[in-house]
This record gives sequence, C-alpha cells and structure tokens, in this order.
Amino acid sequence: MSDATVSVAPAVTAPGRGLGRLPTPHWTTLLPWVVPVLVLVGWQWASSTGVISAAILPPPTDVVDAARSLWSTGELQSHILVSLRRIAVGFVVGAAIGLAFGFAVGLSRIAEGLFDRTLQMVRALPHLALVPLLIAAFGIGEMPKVLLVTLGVIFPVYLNTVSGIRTVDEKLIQLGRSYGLGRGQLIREVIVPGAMPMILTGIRYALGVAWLTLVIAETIATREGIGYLAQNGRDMLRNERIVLAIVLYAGAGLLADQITRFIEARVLRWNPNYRKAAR
Amino acid sequence: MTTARGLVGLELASIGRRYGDNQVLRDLDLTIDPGDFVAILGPSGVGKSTLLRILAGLEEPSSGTMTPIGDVPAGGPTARMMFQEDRLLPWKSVLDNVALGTKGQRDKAAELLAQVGLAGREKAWPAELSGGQRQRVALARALMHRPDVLLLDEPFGALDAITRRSFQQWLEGVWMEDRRTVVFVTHDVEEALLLSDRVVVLSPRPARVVAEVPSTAPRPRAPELVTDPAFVTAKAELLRALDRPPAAPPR
Repeated sequence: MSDATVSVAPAVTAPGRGLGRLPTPHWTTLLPWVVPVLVLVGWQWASSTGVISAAILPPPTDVVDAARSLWSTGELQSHILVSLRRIAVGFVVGAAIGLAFGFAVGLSRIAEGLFDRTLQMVRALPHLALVPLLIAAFGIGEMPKVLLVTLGVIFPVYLNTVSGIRTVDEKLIQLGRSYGLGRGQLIREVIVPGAMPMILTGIRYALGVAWLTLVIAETIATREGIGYLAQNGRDMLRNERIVLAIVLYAGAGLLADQITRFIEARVLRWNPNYRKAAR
Repeated sequence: MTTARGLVGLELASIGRRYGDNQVLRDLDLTIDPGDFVAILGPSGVGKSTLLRILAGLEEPSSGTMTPIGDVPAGGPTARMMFQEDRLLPWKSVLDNVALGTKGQRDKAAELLAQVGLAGREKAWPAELSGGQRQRVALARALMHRPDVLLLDEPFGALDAITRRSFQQWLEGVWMEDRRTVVFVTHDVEEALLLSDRVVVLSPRPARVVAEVPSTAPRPRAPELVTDPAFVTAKAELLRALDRPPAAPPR
C-alpha cells in the first residue's frame, strides 16, 4: 500500500484475543454449564428421594410435565402471550416517555427547569407502593398492570438519557460546531450517538425493572398471565406450576437481556468494548 | 488554483485573553496577510492553542480586536481548525469523519484519505487506527472544507520523524495549489522554518509576539534546506528569541 505522494507508516491494528489469555482448547466452552447441570441433577435427586419435600419443591420432571399438559390445552401459550403483551405495551410507552423527557431535559435548559425537579420528586416514590392505589382506581383489569410497568420503565430510561447527553465529550461538540454542523445535525451526528451507550444501559436496566414489576402486578390481582399461573398453582397446591412460572419469568428476563445485548453490539459496533461482546 | 474566492487574512490588534486571574495573552499584535503560511512557535503552555482558537473564532478575546482583511466573503471568512487531539467521532467510519459537515462529498473525502496514505481504510472505525493514522484522518478532515483560513495545532505531533518529513512536503504541496492562508502551531524550529513564509515567536505567559523571522527559501523546499547557511542563521535567531526572556524557567 504505497502511495505516490506520501509514504505509509506501518499499521498497528491487530486485534488480540483478550489480555494475556492463552489460547484454550475447545472443551472449555462447556465449563460454564457444569454447575447448572449438577444443580439440576441434584434437585431431581433430592426431591424424588424425599430429601426435599416434593410438595414444596417438585422435581424438574414434574415441572416439565406440568408445562407439557398446560401447553396441550393452550393455557400456557395464552398466559405467556398475556404477560408479553403487558410488558411490551408498558415498556414501549414508558421508554417513549422516558426518552422524550430525557432528550428535552438534556438538550434544553428551559425543559430542564420545567420538568427535572418534578420528575426527580416522582422518582422518589417507589412505584410498587402504588399497587393498592392503582387497583382501587382501575380495578383488576389490564390498566393497572401496564401502568405499573410504564412507571417502572420511565425513570431508568429518563435518567440515563439525561446523563448520557450531559456526558457527551464537550470537545466533540465544539468540533462539530466548528465544522459547520447546524443544531439538528449536531444532535443527530454527535449528541445522540455519543449518548447511546448510556441510553442503552438505561433501557437494559429498565427491561429488568419491567419484568420485576410485572411479577408483583400479576401476583396481586389477576385472572390471566404467568403470575396468575403461579397464584393458581398455590391455591390448588400444585407447586410445579409455581416453579414453572418462576422458570418462565427467568427465561423471559434472560431473553430480553440477550436481545438488548444484541442491539448494543449492533448499534455500538464502533466501540471495541461492545464489539467483543457481539462475537 | 483558480477559484472564485479570493484570499483572506486576519489582523489582530492588542489581543488579550484571560481566564480568571490567569492572563494568557496580552497586547498581542499580529497581522496574517492573505495567503500567508505562518508558523507560531513558542514553549509549551504559553497560549499558542488559545491564540489559534481565537483565530478560529471558537473563543472570544477578552480585549482587543480581530479583523478579517483581504477579499473577505459576505458571511465572513470560513476557518477550520485541526485540534491537537484528533477529535475523531468514534461512531463514524474514517470516511464519514473526513466528510463531516460536507454534503456527502464522499469521493473527495476518499481522495484525500488516499493522499494521507489511508486508502483502503475508509470503512475502519477510528478505534482501529494508530495515533498517527488518526492524526492523518484529522488533517484530511480539516483540508476537506478548503477553508479561507486553515488552523493547525501541532498537526504532525503524533507522527514519527520519517512520516513527518513526507507529510510536511505533502502539506506544502497542498498549500501551493491555491495558497490559502495557513496558520500552524509547532514547537519544532526546523519544521516552522521549512514550511512557513514567516515564523512568529511568542513569549512565555502572558504571551506577546517577541520575534518574527521570515523564511524566504524558494518552494518547494527540499529537506536538505536545513543545512543551508541562511536557514541555519534563521534557526539560530529563532532559538535566541525563544530563549530571550530570562523569566522563562529552564526546560
């Protein structure tokens, strides 16, 4: 790669395989699964031999059986669907509100003066404490559950958006201005991408809060959804349904986390730290 | 070469700049003629970068005036500054960094990238480049806009000695195409004399102009110029000027 006008310095861009790590053989990729498998096997053994009361903690095989029979009647699918819908609606609405206020407050002094104090005060309320009030106001329909998820999502998204915008490197903003970017361009090309790592962190955190909120909301007053499955299991002394519900919540949370990680790796692929995670 | 726009210079009259109690520049008079290639020389931390930011219009002087002179365009002259740090946007590819603020002139950006020896790296992220490569991208970006006044803050600081020489020659060639005004900061005496028409020496804080040494050797200048007797005399004069104020602490 030599050029007519200018000689080229040697490129020093060989991305290494982590710091000081020796290359490892293939079987080590199985290592992280050793403990979970042992726990599962131990659990099966303990509750089928009576070391743990199977009435309290049924063995994994019972849980799988419960899932299978609920699936065949279509109940399981409809419960999952209901819960997913609550999360989706509550999360999208909450994230949209959080982003809107976050950008307004981050970009405008007037909006900051107008909204920030109020939002900080509302944030001090633990949203889960509103459960009785929301049930009193909206009954046990979809509204209080979705609203609760929304309330839980707004603040992590809002706070991270504001501080993401605030922490964009001042020097890069100055650079953008001096290279002739207008306000709109500056926001699009410098501020938003600069704030993106923190915004995505906020969204990932908010997803966690959303599931946790749903667990509470669904266990208190409900007739469908994963939480209902657990309540129903308790009433009917069928603990395998409770365990199934817990497993479903965990799986859903894990899935949501994986999705945001994937999005991070795509959107932040310019950042070496995130690119590594994408591989 | 033949462009519709004429050349623009800047005239500074008793410029002062203070940050709180810290007087960085005081009574600084300096005329940069249209089409001049000026080097600003001075010890580290005297306020060379502050002066450059004032010339770029990024900072207002606390006192004094700056007037554009020459064939000044209606909206005022355009200035582009290459900062000491590369200030590449990490989320834009190398090519998009060079094309920043232009309306999609990606072909021109690619051409400039090739000229700074980075052909084939257009799609790379800044994080994948070495410090010297990043500085070259920043230089290409500053040249993209063909500004009336080009301001360079230690443009070759991150380059090794050999690459540095070839980039000095390249910059001289670029300048000779249309001879638009260039002001660059350096603390390399030889670089200042090799590149510029005129070397301006600043005193330690508060900075004033303590010497102006012309550099009149014909262009393009060969690296061997450094052994020319006139060059050596000028270099000695600059070194004396840099050393002059006894208040300056050693090193």
